[in-house]
Amino acid sequence: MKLLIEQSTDIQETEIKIVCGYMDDRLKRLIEQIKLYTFSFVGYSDGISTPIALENIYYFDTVDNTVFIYTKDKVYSSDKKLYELEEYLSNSPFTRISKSCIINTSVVASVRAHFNGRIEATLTNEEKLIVSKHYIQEFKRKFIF
Amino acid sequence: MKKILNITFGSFTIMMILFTFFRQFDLAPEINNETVLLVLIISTSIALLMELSDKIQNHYDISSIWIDLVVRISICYVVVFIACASFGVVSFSLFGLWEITPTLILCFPLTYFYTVYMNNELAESINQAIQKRNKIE
Repeated sequence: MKLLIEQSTDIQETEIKIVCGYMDDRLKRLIEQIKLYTFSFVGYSDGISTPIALENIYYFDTVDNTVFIYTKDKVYSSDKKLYELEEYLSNSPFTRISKSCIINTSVVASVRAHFNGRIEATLTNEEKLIVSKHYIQEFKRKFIF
Repeated sequence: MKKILNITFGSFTIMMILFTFFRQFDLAPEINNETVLLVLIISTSIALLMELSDKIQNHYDISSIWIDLVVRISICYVVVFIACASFGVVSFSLFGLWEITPTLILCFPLTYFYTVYMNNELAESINQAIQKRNKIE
C-alpha cells in the first residue's frame, strides 16, 4: 500500500481519497478509523448547538423518539433519526446494539456474557450497555474480522 | 439459519445422549425411528420458536432475564408436551404434562448452559480482540 500526502497552502479543504482494487478487512478498518477522526455531528444542549467529533461520541440512544448523543460525561440531543445515523455511520466503528442504541465500539473497554444470551458492554467511562441477541453477530464483527 | 441449526443439533445431541443414558436403567422408551423423529421434531420446533421469541423480544426491546427464562421454559413445555402426546408417548392430560417434567428439568439446564457457554466463549474472544487493539494503540 502506498501513502501519498500532498501538502499545499492553496488547498482549502483536506481531502482523503482511497484508490484500491479489492477492499480487504485491513482497508475497511482503516476507512472506519478515518471516518471516526474526520466526521462530526451537531448536538444540542440548552438551545446551544455544538459540533461533536465522532471519536468523542460514546453512543446514540433513543428516548421517546428523540435521539440523544452520549459523550464521556455529557448528553446532547440530535435532530437526526436513529436509522439515518445508522446509514451515515456505516463503515465506521459504530454499530447498532439494540432497537434504540448505536454504540461506538472503539470505546468498549470489555464485555461480559449474560445468562439470557445477551452481552453487556462496559465503556471506558464505566457505563454499561446491553447488546441484544439480534445484534450480537454484527457487534462481534467490529472486533473480530 | 446457522443459529437455528446450532440449537437444533445441539439439543438433539443432548437429548439423544440422555435417552441412551436413561435407557440403560429402563427409565426411557426404546430408541427407534419414531423416537429419533420425535426428538428431531422437538429440537427443530424449539429452535424455531426460540428464534421467533428472540425476534419478538428484540422488536419490543425486552431485556428482562426473567421474561426470557419464562418464555423459554414455556416453549420447551408446550413443544415437548404436544410432540410427546401426538406420538402417544404421554397422554394428553395434566398427568402427561407432569410426566414430561423430569425430562425437561434435565434437558433445559443442559441446553441453557450450552448457550451460556457459547456466549461466554464469544465474550472472551471479543475481550481478547479489545486487549490486542489496546496494545496496538
